Amino acid sequence: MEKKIPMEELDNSWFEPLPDEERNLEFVAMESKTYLQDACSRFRKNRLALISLVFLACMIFLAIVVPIVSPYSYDEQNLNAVNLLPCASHLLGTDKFGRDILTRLMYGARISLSVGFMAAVMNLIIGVVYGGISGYVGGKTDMIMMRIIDCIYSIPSMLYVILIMLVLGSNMYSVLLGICVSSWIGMARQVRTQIQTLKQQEFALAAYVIGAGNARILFQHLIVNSMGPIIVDATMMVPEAIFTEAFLAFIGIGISLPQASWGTLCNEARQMLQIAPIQIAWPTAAICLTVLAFNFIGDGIGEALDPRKK
Amino acid sequence: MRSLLDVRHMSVDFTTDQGIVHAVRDVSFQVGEHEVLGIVGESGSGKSQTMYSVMGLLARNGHMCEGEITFNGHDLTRSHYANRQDYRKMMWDLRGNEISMIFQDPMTFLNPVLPVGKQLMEPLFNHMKISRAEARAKAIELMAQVGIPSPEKRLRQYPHEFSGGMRQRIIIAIALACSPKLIIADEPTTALDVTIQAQVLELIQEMTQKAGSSVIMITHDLGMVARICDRIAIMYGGKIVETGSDEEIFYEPKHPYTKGLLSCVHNPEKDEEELHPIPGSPPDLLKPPAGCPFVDRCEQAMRICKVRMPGETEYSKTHRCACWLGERLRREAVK
Amino acid sequence: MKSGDAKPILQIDHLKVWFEARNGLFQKKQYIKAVDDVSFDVYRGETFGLVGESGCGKSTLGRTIVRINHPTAGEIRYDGVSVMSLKGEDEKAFRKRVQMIFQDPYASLNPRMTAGEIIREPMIVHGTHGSAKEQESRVAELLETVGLKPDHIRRYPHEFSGGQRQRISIARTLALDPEFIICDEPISALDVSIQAQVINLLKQIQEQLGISYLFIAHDMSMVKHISDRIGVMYLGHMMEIGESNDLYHHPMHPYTKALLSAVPIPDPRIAKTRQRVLLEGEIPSPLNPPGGCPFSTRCVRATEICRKECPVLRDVGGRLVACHEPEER
Repeated sequence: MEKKIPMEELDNSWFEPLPDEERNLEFVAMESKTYLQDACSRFRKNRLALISLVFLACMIFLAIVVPIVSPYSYDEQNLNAVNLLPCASHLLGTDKFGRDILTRLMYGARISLSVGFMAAVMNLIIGVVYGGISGYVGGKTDMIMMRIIDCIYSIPSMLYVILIMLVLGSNMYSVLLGICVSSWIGMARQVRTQIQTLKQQEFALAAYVIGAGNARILFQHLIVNSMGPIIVDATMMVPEAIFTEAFLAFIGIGISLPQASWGTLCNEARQMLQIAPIQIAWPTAAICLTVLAFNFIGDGIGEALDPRKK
Repeated sequence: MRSLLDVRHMSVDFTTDQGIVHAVRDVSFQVGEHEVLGIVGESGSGKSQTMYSVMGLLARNGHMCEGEITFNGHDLTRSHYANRQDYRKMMWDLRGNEISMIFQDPMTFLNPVLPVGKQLMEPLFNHMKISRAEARAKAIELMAQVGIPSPEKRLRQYPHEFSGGMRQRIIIAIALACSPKLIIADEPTTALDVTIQAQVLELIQEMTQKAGSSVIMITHDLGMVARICDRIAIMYGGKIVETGSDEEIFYEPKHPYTKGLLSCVHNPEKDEEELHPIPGSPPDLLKPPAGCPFVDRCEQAMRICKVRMPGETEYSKTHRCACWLGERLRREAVK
Repeated sequence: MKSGDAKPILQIDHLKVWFEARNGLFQKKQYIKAVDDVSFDVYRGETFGLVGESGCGKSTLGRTIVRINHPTAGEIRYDGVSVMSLKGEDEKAFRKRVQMIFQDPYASLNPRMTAGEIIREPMIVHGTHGSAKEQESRVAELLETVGLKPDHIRRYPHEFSGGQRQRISIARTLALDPEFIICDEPISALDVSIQAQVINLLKQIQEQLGISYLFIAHDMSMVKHISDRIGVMYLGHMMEIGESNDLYHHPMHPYTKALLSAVPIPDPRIAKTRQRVLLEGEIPSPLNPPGGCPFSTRCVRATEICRKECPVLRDVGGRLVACHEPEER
């Protein structure tokens, strides 16, 4: 508006001092957003991660709902309807004992997903505490803690699983325990390196100079700031655990029949490969898509938390 | 004085997560032959981006949306080239040969896995037709010129084996390898210690005088500018607010920002001088003000300053200032 | 604020801070002598400037006072009590009295905390200033002291400019009403127009609260402006200590002289004509310092004795100089 008036017509009142209230000292232009809001808005722009998230949400929803709503139970056999192809009454068909595959698949999803999530959460907790302490205290403590890790790492993880199964019997919890015995190590190492670099940062030193206690510095300042990569790692750990569980189940270690995880379903379908090849497609697809979805989500979170990574 | 580099109405935008940052807005300036031009500004004033744009080295998310650049008869305006390859080829021929750049942090410019000798010889191979032995001889000569002891031996060493000051000397040697007509130095001494700064500055001055090159010195350090520059441009908020000879800028500053800047720095030769800081913080170029970028911090701000960018007032052949105070003075004189 | 009769609040006594440096497991231990036998006092209400180039040990010294680094030998006494032996409640009390401002305003604020939380943290840690509400109002007060607006309280560090961040950092150090602040290059990462703001703010705070500063910097001109006395360090050694104007105009140590002549002067007539003492060569590595006087490799006046014997800081007409043959005043 003002812009269009030619210079000569600008009247002298424009050349009076600018009143103080029109001044904008200490103006902060950036929109105020918390770190989380910022990350969320970036995550929402990542279509692949968003689709994956929706897919996973559906999967979890179905895993909860299907076994409840389904007219069949996971171990109900019907020898009159063996190896059916997908049809109206059995959406994904039936297996060699006439059990409804959809019900079993979703029942398996419960086991596979809970193994995945629980493993990730346990790893997260153990890894963060162990790595955090090791990295923060440093010196001899760090050395001893890292050697303990090396010792644990030197034994093949499969051995742990088999031994634990022997002692605790084959159920979901012993599989979980077996997976967790050694897989938190990666997390602990990651956290330790993070903490080691962060504790040299001036804001950590500032907290120390203020007189903040060790616990406060470690949790309020260091771990909070290393949370980004840690969460990404934890997300990536879910598919890893699902994989391990499936693999164990496939070779016959783990959840006992007639319970089903995706691995056992694969194994059963494998025996039917020549008669009903489609049976193997369902659990395989479930594993593949879930693992992929977790990986995309992990990447998405990583990029959202640290935009420079792109 | 013939003008070597001529930049007209240049604007540079950056696309970021937060929105478009107008880093450089309608900037025009010239550099004459054998002239040392200082571009002074604080961080975020757009001084470095102006130069990166001239060199065609803008980051991927930045582009020059307006303006024209002419250098020694060459047209450096990217948008004037229909074919991107032509532009690249032309810049490739010019860079390191007729225009070189000295960067703030030598470590990011030097390749850590190549011996410095190789890196010194590279521009020579690229722009001159010379043999290996000649290039080597020339590299040794250059290293000796910039004051690196036993150059034959050090030619084979890697950048990390040199100290910061020595690295900056190597950068200067690389920049001067082909005796360029124009050298753009982007805060060449900021990362160095005070005594080393003095050495490096002396070296740049001596070497460019010998080679007869023009220099654009990008800096925030008024002391350095006072020492080596013939002409000074003051940038603020993506715009050049005042240009003039060194004496005009230091002794007869017209723009309130220039005045403010000068009274913020302590001249240690005078005792017990009060510092008069400029209140507030620099404008955020995400949302640059419609008028003068300095309006919110200016003691003499007028209502017009808030809404319209002032035109330039000419005080002498070399001295120009973009401030509404000039217009007000004119009106008062008419009255 | 003349030092004469006043009581020193901080005494540094033959302080050595050495860092172990080993290249390989089986190689001989080497020491980086970051601070090597440095002694000086800081008086109540005074600003003591500590200047030197990178690697001279000035920041290590500052950090040792607040116990981030540990001394190899020597003593630091604050208000007559050895800082190193403080434990428990005494240590907490010391933390309240001595604070530090860091160099990099981008690294010294926790990016996950709001400005308000950052400034309030010291009060929470020490349980001072009463209830949460009272602490909040104190935060608002502090924000005002450093020239920020109360509505900035809920903003995160990355939303501020460098100068604004440094002011938040200053507000944090003021939260506990300290008596002594170590300023570790507080302005070197800031823009020129902002440097003056911070310097004036520090001065104004000193006038109001009578705080003592140890002001560490590499920029001689700003140090001269803010300090009452200046100490010049080089390669872990204290070279010269003197009253700031006197030291600037009549440096007695050749290193001080060279450092001063390298200071850029924002005045073209002076800057273009001034005589300069250009130093030859580079700063030696602290891993392998020269024998004798640390400055002997670059000193134009160095003689035989300088290369053999390290001069001790001695009183020459009211000025402390570590040089065998100091310049005339």
